[in-house]
Amino acid sequence: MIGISPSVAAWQYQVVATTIQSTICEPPTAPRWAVASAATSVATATVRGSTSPDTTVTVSDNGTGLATAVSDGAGDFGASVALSAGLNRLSANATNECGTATSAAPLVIQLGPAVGANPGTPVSTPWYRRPAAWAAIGLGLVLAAVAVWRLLVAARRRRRDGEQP
Amino acid sequence: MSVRAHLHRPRNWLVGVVAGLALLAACPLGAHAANGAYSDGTYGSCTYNSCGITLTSSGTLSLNVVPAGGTTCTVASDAVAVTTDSSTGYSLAMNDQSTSSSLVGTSTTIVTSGGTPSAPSALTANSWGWRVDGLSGFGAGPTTGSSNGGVPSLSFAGVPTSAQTSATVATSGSAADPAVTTPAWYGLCVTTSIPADSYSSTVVYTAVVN
Repeated sequence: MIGISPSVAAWQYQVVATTIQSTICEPPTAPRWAVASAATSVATATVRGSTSPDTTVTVSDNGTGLATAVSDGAGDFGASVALSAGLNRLSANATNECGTATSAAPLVIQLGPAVGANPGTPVSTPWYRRPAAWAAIGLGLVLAAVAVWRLLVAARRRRRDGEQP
Repeated sequence: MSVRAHLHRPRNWLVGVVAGLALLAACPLGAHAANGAYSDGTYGSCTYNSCGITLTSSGTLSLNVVPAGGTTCTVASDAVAVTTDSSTGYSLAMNDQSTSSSLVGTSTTIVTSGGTPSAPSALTANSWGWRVDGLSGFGAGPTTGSSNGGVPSLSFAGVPTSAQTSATVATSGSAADPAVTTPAWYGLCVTTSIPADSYSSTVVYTAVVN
């Protein structure tokens, strides 16, 4: 009680308090993705990145929130997101009590046909669609054929030499 | 000797009764320390227990600042509401709860403004203060809330400590029913020299019926 004369009756005054609270801090650092791009055939992928420690991170795709995670003491975070078919351009917003920071570059994930790739692995073309693979196969076949042919020729030569007196 | 004493006793008793009645009549609102000294009757503009007063405030006021090059300021208001049926109105005053009116952090404090209600001043770097639009020397305002802005053009006063005379926030000569809300504005300006931390101080409002 402040500034109240003792002569004032209890019902004639009232005292309340307001706590002035101020948090002075820095906004989180802009999230950075662990990789710039990835491809997967699995519709759910775990995306990873880093920002300030103990910061809430929201992963979005064109403004639609997909997942929320909290970075650990080192600032690393991981979030499981559901992907759409085709290209997914993910952004991350890190928010603390003093502000929000958005990832400077998106994480581009290609959700493609099943090829057995794990989520987050780099984009890869199936081997049967690679000309170099077929060239290698062809070269191998040719070399194998040549080797077989040479073996056959050598065997025939040995037989012929053995028949001669 | 014994006769005189015998005669004086009833006189003293009478003088005491008359003086007591006179005092009660002269001080209708009470020169008594405790509520219990009152009973049914009229005291000034109030009958016993009728001139109650209710006071509310926001309870917590956030003045978060993200310092960014130069002086960064945040201004926010505390809604202080008084309700009383006292026809003579009320007085609302405030102090800091402690003997220091600084915002206290772990290792650093932020001092209160050097201005006063009659001579308020602009907030300077690393200080905080209060103002009420239209009160004393504060000017009409209007004050608006802001976050992480520049130094407000309006002037502020320092919050008096618990050891200092309380600062008048509002006065009224009439009843306040329904409640009359006074926005008490608080401003904080800091630079990056203030370490990131949580700072706080508690302001106490006191409302008294007139």
